[in-house]
Amino acid sequence: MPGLYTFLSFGSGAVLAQQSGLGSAGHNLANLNTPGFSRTRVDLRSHLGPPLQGGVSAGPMSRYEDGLLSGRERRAAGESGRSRDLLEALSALEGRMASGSGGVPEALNDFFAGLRELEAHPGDPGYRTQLARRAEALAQSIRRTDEALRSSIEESNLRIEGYARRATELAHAFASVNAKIAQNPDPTYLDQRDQIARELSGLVGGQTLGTDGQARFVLADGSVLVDGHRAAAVEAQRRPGPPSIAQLEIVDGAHRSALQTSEGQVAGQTQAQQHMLGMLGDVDTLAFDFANAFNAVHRGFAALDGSSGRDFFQSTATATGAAAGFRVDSAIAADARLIGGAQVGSGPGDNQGFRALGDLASQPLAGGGTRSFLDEAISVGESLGYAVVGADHASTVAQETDQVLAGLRDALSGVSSEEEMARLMAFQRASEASIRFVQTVDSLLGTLLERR
Amino acid sequence: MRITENRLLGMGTQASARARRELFEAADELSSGQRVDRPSDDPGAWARGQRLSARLTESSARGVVHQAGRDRLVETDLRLDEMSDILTRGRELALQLSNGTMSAAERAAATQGLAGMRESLRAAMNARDSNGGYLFSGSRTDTEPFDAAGTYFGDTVMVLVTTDASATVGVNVTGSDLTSAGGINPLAAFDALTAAAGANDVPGLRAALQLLGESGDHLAFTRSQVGHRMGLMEQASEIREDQKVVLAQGLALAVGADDLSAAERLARARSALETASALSETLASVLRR
Repeated sequence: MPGLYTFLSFGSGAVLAQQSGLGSAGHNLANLNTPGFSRTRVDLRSHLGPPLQGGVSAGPMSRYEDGLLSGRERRAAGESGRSRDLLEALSALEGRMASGSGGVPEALNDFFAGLRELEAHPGDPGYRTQLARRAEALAQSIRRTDEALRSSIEESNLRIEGYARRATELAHAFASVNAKIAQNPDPTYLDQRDQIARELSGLVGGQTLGTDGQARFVLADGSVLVDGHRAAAVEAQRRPGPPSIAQLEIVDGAHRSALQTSEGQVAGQTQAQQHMLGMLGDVDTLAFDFANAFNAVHRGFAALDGSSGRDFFQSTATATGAAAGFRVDSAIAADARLIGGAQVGSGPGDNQGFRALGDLASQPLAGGGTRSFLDEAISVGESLGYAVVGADHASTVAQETDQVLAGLRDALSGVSSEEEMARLMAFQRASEASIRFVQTVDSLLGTLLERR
Repeated sequence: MRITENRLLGMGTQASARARRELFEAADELSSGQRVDRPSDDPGAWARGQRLSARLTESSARGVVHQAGRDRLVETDLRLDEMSDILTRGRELALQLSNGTMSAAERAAATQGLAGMRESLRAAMNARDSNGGYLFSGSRTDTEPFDAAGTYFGDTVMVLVTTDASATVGVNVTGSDLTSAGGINPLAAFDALTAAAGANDVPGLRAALQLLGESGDHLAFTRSQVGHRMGLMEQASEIREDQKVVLAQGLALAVGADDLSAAERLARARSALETASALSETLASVLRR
């Protein structure tokens, strides 16, 4: 049978335990709106067996956290970051391509309509000047598309470089928090590391391996970004162009390795760049094929001054850079009478050249001889549309997944003010009861001491 | 499953944002009248719209060609009619002059009128279209086709215009058709008539009358050909107008807004937004207590 001093010890132990509980509930309430916060709990342990045969004590403060769920959250953050950036980059490109006066299909179509109209007015200076203007509008449209693609690729480069800098900062922060956890596994530090890991996953993908102060952050390609207290750096290197492309490397001391990731915002930007490079190639090929096919026919017909053999569009030696250099021949741009529309030797009323040039609209001379120039121009826009829709769907699915996981996380780790208030009151009442118990024991002891 | 206040607030905010986005999209569709504005709105429909729009533009361009072709054929027909009239008057005069009751002096006096008719005929053969180009000089529209002697300076190029994807129609009559190369020579017939009248040559007058008759018949045949081509152009225009209606309908179906459905979505989104906002407000007021 324990004595009164032992009861006093039980009581003071209980007060301390309830104070810990109060501290935990207060801490939770104080962090009600802290992003990434996991509610804490204090487990009270009763000591029923010998040597104490009674009493209660508080265990260490622990987090409501599920490692498996956290892992899935990080993976989802990687996919969410990838699809969001892909969608943003492609949508921005689409916006750029839509701005200005119409796209390539519209300009191409207007140009061919101008040729058609010249069939009926082959020698008319007004119609010829209008055709030269439409040709200029077509050239501008092709160059504008090319510029839109190149500036979008460059914007992605800048983003990737920014992400690399941020990933390096986060890797160092991860290692630094690891060091703190090694010394003191405070739940706040664990929360911090989880937050960092989630942001890192969103940027470059990857997972946290381990839960202690030696935890590692490993990327999807297996490269280790953080190993315990040591962090590697993520650096962006420009692959020479044009257009130059930013590529990421993991730099760990003297060792460098290429970062190949299919997750995170970096992957989203890289995938967008791949799509843009494909489009750039398509637009170049379209411009190259169109200029060559048109010039080949145009050279065979005579201008109003009787001359022939002139190119209508300036052409490049290869398809690469053809869109950027797509221009109307400067002499034709300055004098529309030089447009060749008649058979050599015929008069200005002959329209055979314009008919032959107009017929190019329907001939399968683009896409490797499979479709018309108009269809090719449309397919470039259509493929971008499908890419944006695909990215949008992926982003929606990722967001939904995020929401589900956030819901699961909230169900486990989220703070409910009602619950915490109830806990606070329960601990407070228990604490008051323990204090009363101590006071009673204290008064009993006092009475006993007075009677001696 | 535990649901915290933060989660509820988050869900309310998301629902509001989603409803607001849907509201904006439906309002945009209603105000612009376009369901598909950019490729990502509906890539397949956008591509279809681009193709239909291209065909509409091409159809309009063909309309310009058809109109110009018809105008040219109408002008040609008018001039051929004018030539026919002159030839008819020439034949009537030749018939009178070949009558045995006419004296040599009367025949000689008629030569001045015949010369005037010849000049009128040459003027009709050198007629210009509304743009100032010569109608009967083939492709050499900047060259006067017939000089005073009746020598032809144009060429034999038949100017064809496209009526649809595979057919063409000639929109000119070359002056070579009105020379010996074409089987007749009305100017030479007038020259022969004038010479015969001046020389009081009755058999010559009768021969010239024959030539004028053949020229008249040839012109009538040429006019019938021009009329046939005008008919073809007319037909092509009608087909094009019908196609234009079908294309415009197809375009509206592909990319145009369905007003009824957009209005329905607008109403639904507005109601969803109101509900989400009310929910968020209620939750916020509960949390404030």
